[in-house]
Amino acid sequence: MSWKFPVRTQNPEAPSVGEADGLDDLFSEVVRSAAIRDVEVSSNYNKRTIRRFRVDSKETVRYLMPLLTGAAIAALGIFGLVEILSKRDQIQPLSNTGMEVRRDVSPGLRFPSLEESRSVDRVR
Amino acid sequence: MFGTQVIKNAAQEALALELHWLQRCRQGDEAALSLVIDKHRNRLVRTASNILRDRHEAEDVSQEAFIKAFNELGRLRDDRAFSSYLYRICVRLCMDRLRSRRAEPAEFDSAEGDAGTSVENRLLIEKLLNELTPELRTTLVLREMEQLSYEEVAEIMRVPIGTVRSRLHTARERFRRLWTDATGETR
Repeated sequence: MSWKFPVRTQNPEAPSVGEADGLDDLFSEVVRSAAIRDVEVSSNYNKRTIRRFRVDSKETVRYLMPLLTGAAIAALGIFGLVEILSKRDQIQPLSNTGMEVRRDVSPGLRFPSLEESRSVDRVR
Repeated sequence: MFGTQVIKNAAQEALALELHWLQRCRQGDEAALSLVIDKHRNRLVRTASNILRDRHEAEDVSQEAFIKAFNELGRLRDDRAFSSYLYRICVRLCMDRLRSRRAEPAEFDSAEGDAGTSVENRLLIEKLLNELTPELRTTLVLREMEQLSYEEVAEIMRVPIGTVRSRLHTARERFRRLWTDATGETR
């Protein structure tokens, strides 16, 4: 197995470094020759840009509105939850232990008395 | 010496004026928006035209760049960077257009050339540029047509200078091969 110096394996068709640089310059010139130097923009370019900017700003707000609403509702929910958790010990527990159901028989139950002298309409 | 000082002062004045306009833009002042657009539009449209080779699309992209930049104005830390920020947005949008365009057949409309370049040559160059990937094409255009430095290209494309050099080398190499294949000449 013999080791060869890499230069020997160089492609004989490849240009030398100097030639390659020269070709690079030439083709750079070719590309440069197609450059657009002067441009003419439409007469209403500024107006159209500003109008598009205004529309875009409004659309952004409209687009983000559901997201903002959702975020506000979520923030309120979280705020309420935090409030409940922080005042948990102050809230009376809802429990029916120690309670009993009893029939309420009021001894002084009185019915209203009708006065015959008054007309029927007024009694109603 | 005196001339350099005058130019420096003029540049500082222009920058101070632009900073003032940008402040007014934040408050939604349309006159200030228009002044900022006036200052940058030609450069943006020219660069976009060179990258996209379509004047109408170039106008559209440059307007989109202005809109994005104005929308992001609140987040911009240093107003002095606005110009390069705007330019970077425009180049990125151009690259996005190139990527989405690659699936579609190429259309060229900028055959009206500068003196000295035949329309056929110009069309051929545009066709060959279209064969390059968006990254290679944009690097080549920014360096050769816009004549930016390696550092400027690297800053705009947000890549290291070494990447710019290697992309440029690959782009030139590919362009040369395509040109030779198309014309049969090596110049």
